[in-house]
Amino acid sequence: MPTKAGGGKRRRDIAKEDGAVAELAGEAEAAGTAASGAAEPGAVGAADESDSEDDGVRNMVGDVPLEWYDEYDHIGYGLDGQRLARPPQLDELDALIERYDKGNSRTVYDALHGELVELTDDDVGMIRRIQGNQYPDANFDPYPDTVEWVSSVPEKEPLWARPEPKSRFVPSVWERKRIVRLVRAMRSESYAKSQAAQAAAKERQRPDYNYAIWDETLEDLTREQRRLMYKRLNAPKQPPPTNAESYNPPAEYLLSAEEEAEWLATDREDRPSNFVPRKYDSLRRVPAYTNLPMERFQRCLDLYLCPRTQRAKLDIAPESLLPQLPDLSQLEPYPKRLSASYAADAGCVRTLSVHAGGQWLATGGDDGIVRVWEVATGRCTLSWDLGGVGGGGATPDAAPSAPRAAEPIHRLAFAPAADRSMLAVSIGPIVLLVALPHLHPPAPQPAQLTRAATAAIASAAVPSADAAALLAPPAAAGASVIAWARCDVPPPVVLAGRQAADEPRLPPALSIAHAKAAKQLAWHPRCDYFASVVPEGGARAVLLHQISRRVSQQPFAKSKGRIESVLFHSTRPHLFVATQREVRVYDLLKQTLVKKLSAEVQWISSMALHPAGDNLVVGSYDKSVVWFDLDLGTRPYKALRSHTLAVRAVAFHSSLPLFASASDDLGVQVFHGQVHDDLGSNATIVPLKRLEVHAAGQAGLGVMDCAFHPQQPWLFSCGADGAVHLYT
Amino acid sequence: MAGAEEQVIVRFVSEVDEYAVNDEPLELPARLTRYGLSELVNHLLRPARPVPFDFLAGGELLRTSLRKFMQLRALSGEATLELRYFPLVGEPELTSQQEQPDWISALSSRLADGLVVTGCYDGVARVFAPPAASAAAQALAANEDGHDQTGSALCELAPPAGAAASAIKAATIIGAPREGAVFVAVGALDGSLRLWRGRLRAEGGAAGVGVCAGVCVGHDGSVEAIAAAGSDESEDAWLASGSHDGAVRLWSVAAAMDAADAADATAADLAAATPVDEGGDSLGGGKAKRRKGAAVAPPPPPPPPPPPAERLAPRSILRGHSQAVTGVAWAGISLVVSASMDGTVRSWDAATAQSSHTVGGLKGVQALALSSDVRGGGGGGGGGGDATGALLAATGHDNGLVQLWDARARPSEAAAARLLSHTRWVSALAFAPASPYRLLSASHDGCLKVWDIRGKLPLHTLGAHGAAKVLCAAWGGKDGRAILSGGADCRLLVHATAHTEQ
Repeated sequence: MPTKAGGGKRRRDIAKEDGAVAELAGEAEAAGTAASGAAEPGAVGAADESDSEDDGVRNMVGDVPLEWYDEYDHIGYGLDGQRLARPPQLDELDALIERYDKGNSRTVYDALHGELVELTDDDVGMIRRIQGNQYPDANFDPYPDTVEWVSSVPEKEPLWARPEPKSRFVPSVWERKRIVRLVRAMRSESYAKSQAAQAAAKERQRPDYNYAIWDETLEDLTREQRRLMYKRLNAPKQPPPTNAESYNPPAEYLLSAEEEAEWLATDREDRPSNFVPRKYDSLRRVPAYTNLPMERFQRCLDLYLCPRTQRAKLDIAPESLLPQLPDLSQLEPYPKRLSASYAADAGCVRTLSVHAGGQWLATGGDDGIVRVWEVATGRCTLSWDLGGVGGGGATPDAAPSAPRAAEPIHRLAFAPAADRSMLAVSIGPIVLLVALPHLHPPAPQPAQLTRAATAAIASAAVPSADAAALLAPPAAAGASVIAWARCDVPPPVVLAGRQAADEPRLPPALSIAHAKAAKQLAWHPRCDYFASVVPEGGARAVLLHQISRRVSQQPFAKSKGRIESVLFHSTRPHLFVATQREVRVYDLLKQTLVKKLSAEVQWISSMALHPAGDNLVVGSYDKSVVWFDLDLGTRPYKALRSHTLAVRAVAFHSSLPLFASASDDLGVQVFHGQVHDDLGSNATIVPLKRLEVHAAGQAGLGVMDCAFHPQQPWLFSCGADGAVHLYT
Repeated sequence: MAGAEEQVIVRFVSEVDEYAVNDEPLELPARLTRYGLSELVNHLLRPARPVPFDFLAGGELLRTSLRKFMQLRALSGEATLELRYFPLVGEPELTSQQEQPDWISALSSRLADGLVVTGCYDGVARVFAPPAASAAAQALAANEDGHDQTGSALCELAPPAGAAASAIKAATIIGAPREGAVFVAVGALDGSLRLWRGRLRAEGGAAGVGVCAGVCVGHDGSVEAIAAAGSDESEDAWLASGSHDGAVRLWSVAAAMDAADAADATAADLAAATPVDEGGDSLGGGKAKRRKGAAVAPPPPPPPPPPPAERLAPRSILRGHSQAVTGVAWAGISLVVSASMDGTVRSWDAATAQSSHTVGGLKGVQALALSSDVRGGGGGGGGGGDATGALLAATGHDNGLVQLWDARARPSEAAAARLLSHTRWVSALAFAPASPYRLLSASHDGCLKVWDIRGKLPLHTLGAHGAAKVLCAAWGGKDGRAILSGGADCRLLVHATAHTEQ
């Protein structure tokens, strides 16, 4: 084997005379290498054979591997059987010399004869033609002219004139017989059977892929249902072509130069259409569609990039996504319409309060007059000018001597118990605490009865605390942060019935002088405490007043920011304090901060507590009303945006699931707010009715306050237009 | 004929013999309405003066064409429709009006003698005897300004000057006048319920004054409604009062009335030579009060201090309403019906003080009336047997609705009819004594409406009060045909209705 390798290498070296020849040899060798090892000399030998056909082959060993003769001094046998002597082997040096001697001559080593053969020009030419996939013979013509030995053209003088045989014109009897036989066979029953059997066999053999292999109930499905199981991805439906897509669109569909520039300037995805309408005289002039490659490309990109998941199309009506509102008739009773108006020429009516018994309504406004109305008839039973009192400033107990400009009443609030007709009025910087005993007559004592008190009487006569008596004891000096003082107020004008001549004037009122105007008052449910809010009061923004001890307390040592409103919890000793952005809940007994509710509004205006005490409604100057469920955390449960302007007041009904908000947009919105007993369900809030009766007041003020009747589904509202309305 | 009109077979039945026509079935065009039918009947009758008729079909007043009626009732066109007819209730005419110093908030009349008591917001109750309709019409015509001088008060009931007088919310006359004096119960806004003995003015004299015969103590809120029961003959007199505190209290006032009569007789005996006024102190203040309106002119000697008014305790307290009681009425002597702002109408057994029946809805009741044939004996003062017939109650509500309740039905089916025409708060209701079907309603929209409860539309709307709220209304006059009303315009108006059957 080393010999063979050495021989191969030698041949390669020798053959390096000309580039083309060397290539040829290399190819030949490569071909030999690719073939089996035994075939390699044969391949070379074959090349020699072709050569020897021209030159005459002297070595007659045939197609045997030449290395068989490597161990002999002859290389084979001639035609007559004589041994052919091995030509002398050139050593390396001789070979080099000879190569230089021969110069540019092209030689090929003839392995069969063991000699170098010089290639002629014809040989080289033939090799080049073979390389160029041409015929080796330069003179070979692959397309010679056709010689028509038998012409298709009828000749005028044919070689023979035999007529066409009759059989060419007569239907073949044998063919007819064969056809008849076939037709009979096809008509026969057996043929139909065989056809049916064939079709059935074909059908049987056809694989049925229309089944879900894991669906056991599939056999029950109809074919149509099975078809529907395999959803086809239909191509998106294209809109029908428009005029602009015509080859000859009307002029109005063509783009002007600016429009076209704009079209070009816009992003490809943002263009309204993916083409520019062009006008051509005829369809013949329409050029090729230049966008086609790009569109194909984009389409391929789409197919490549598109997700292969089939997204179920949402076939949902938008209305069905809205929450199901109950029928409003099921939510009755609620205030629906204007039922009465309490008319007084009072300017802006800022505040109103309903007596806990539900029979009286007190209103106060810019003219400084407290009016008490009988709710049922609209009669103003009491008119009480307090405008002069509020101007007293820091010395409220100094009797007002000269008439002053009336101080507006900022707020008034009845004590929330029916048997205590106490009214707190914030006028100017003063909070007045007055008793209106005649609004609720003191129940007679059984001892006063001349007749024997029956058992019924005893049960009827509930000892009731006289509001006037509450105010009568002198003030206790001591821990109060601000002074309480008796205040002589002008007597009220009673407009219903007449007063006794000897009846004492209204008991002297108590005045609590604040630093600035108290904008909000809140009663504790037990009527012994009330709180006043002075938004500009700094640390004294919130003051708690205890009536029985005549003491005012300052619950917060330092300012918590501007405080807008406070509320007492109905059952727990909690105080709700609303700053501009949040509502803080304090435990008054433990003196700790219980909770901090983030209202997510800019400026809170008012708040109201659900009678059960677990839900809070907050109104804000930025139009929204926010419902807090105190059990649900510190974020709002719902934000209601039914007003277009600032919300001035919110109110809860004390027994019915109703709440309302009053706004500067002149509307009072009534909501159904049902709180459920089970902890699993949240409150149901349904907007019920928008009551728009008020007219616009000065300075863009609208409805200033609203309050519910304590028992009936009635709503009161007062506005900057001076009107007070009752809706039932 | 191609355009043949739809025909309806109709049989006319008169409820009044005077207007009876042949009751053979007639075939009439279906387009006819009440007016056409009335013309037809007049054509058949040929009376001296045309009489407008009203028609009753199937228990309902005909207010549409016959065709529409048949459609609504789904009646076959081949069946004979029976139309009962009677003279149309005429438009009530304003016969007298009278100014009072303040809002008139309470009104009660007594049919037997035509006495009327009004309660005012100035705290004074006044007793009138409205003149007969014809005389009043003449007086109204004679007076240029329309103010009726003949209607001045027979007596004025008020605490003496200087004493407090609260605005009156309810007033009623108790029993027939005895010995020239009438007993009036007056409930006020401050929760006081006083029993007054008012001496009626003598002919040509000044208005009589009242003596407080008793103070009914126990109300824990304003007195919103009073009703009196008891016949003229019977010894007993009962009051029912509804208060804002939600309780109905029953009072027996006969003893106090007898005591007041006796005191008056004693005073008369004492002053046999020099007649003195009757006087009374409501609250026993002990101060000598100035009297006014003495019947006879001579200078009176200092009168003896009148005995303090007797304080009465309620005989029973009917508790069951959760909110203010706005209406009470007696059905016979033993059944009290009360209506409350909590929306319910309850009937109570007066003897046991138990609630026997409750009907109601969602809306608070503001006014109550009982149908006249069950009120017992016909009229406010009349007494008599228990309710026997249908107990029909009408309630007025804050949204202008007048609702009729059939007390015999189960509570869920008791709502009988809804009369909806008022636009505001219904403040007063009254069934006419003359007809069990006629109902008067007053509302804060300033209108009085006369209804026939067999129809859905009011028969007449009286707007004489203008835009002022009408606070009280009642049927009055001796024949029960006058309509009395008072309101926020401080006027007591009397409308007279024509004399019609049914």
